[in-house]
Amino acid sequence: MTPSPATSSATPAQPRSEDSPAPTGPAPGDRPTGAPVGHAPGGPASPAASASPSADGRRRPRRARGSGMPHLMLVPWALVVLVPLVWILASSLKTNEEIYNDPFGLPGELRLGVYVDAWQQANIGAFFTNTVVVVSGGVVLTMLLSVMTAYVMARYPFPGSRALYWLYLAGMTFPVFLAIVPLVRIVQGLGLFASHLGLVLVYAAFSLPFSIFFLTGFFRTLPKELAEAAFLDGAGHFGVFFRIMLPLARPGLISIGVFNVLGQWNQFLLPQVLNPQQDEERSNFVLSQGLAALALGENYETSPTSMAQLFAGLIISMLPVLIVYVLLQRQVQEGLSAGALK
Amino acid sequence: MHLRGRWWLILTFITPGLVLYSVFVLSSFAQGVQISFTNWTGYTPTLEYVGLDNYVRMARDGAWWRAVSHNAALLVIVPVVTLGLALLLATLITRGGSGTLRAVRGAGAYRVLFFFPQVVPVVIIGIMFSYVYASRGGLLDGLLRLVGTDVLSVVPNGPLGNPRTILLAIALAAVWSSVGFYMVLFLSAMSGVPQELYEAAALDGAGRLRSFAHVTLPLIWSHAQTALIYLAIGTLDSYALVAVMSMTGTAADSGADVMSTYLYRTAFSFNSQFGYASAMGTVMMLGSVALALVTFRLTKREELEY
Repeated sequence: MTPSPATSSATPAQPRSEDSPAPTGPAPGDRPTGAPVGHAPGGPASPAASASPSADGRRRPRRARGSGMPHLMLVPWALVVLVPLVWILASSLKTNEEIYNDPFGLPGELRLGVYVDAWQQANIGAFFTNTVVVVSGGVVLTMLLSVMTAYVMARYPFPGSRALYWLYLAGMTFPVFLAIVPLVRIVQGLGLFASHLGLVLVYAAFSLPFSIFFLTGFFRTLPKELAEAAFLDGAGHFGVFFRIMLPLARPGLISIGVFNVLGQWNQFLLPQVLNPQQDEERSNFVLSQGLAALALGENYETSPTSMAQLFAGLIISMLPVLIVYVLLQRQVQEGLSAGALK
Repeated sequence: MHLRGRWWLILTFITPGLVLYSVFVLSSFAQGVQISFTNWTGYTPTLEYVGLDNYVRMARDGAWWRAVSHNAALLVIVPVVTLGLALLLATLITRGGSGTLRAVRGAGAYRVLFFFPQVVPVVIIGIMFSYVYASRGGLLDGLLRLVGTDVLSVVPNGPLGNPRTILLAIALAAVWSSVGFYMVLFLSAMSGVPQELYEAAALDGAGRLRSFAHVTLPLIWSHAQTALIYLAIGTLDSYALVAVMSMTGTAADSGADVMSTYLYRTAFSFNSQFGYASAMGTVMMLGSVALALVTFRLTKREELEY
């Protein structure tokens, strides 16, 4: 197999067909099976990719003890990943004194109250709610608009669709830093400054280009026959989209949806610029802003567990991400790796 | 197929997205370039065109060039360390022995764990590492105390308080967050390498190292290239990590300034110099476009040709 990048990126959504029997692999632009990405057996990001070789290994005669070797280096990296996270979790139950005096000690008692304090006093609860509202709105709007645009770009080429392609490509290539100064003026002009709605619209606008490219690639991999049959049966263009194409696109929608949830949950620069502090409690902040502000103010030690409250805040805002990751691991890896192959 | 319905669908499906995108994204970019030729400060209602003044000023601005050099340093450190580690881990996970390509025991678990940092929000990573590096009660300090020293005697002022180390400290946090992601990319590239090649190499007497160097590496090289460019673009855009980690570190605020943080402070703290900040944004945009063109060149993306 000559894994030319063109092969790997025939469409942004098309995973390398790693289990393709022919060593030549699919030709660029060739859509080998037309199978929806999420269903491609053993797609690169699917757990099957790692599961099948290990199942393979079990069938083979086990090699000599030498096979313990890799773990000598894998385990240390596992610790590098795990230890800071566990340390934050343990420290979120300790007082500042305990953290200073014994960074590796266990908390003196199980202070679950810290989480309550973080939620109420440190206002993490408000930040959390704001984030959930903004991200839900942003993702729903992103998905709605991008799936419609992508469908047209994939299935209804029209004079000018090439120009549209370049317009969206520009948005994917240009750095957001060029946009932030005028963006403040635009959002202020629309009366949306420091509002949830303003953030929702801006998040969606900036998430559109990549979502459109991903979904366009996805729609192209779907079989045409079903749609044609439906047209023959007298279905209209809208009917075909809603009743046939949309359900078929589900795996792609989930992947890009997860990608957008994680991406918008992650936003820091846009809220920092468009959603500045409005009152003493910073009650309009999203999590990333609120946590950054807490971290900055922590130097003043507002309470004996101020550090723990900050750490509890970190854990609380990591939790939804962790849940999404555990539940939708394959889609997360798929969605994010598609980002790298864009 | 009825033509009228066709156009109706095209228009209703494309317009809402295009309106939103034009209002917030396209017009922002266009105005950004426009503002870069003015002396607008955000306080004045009017703006004057000053030609290339902002660009000339940038060329003479030592702080800007320092920021550029920090970006350049990150551009070398982060991709080299990240991809090196990712390749190493991917190889360790897949190479059970010579002649076969199979996963080690627990490969699935390693994969799930190593990938996780990629989904942790960057601001959280920044705050977490600020405390890992903290000189009082920090994780690193605690580890060093186990071997009889402490973080302040190794690095005066602590990793984030010392202008000589702050950039490296931030780079390591970036590496921590993305190694697993690139490992997964490499794993999927590696599983596309046909088994027969390893068997043939083994028959020719190649050990693990040689079959890695002569089979695996050449065949996944193009993926490594793509990853490199993707990381480079990401590094150029790095903002949140630097902003958070140099904010919580007590001293060196400009010790780690990169283009994006310098732009941010020029626009929003140093008297709202919107014109000057936009000029920086325009230069960054040109850099990104150049990188994207290199990407297209190297990878000849069929899909993106449309």
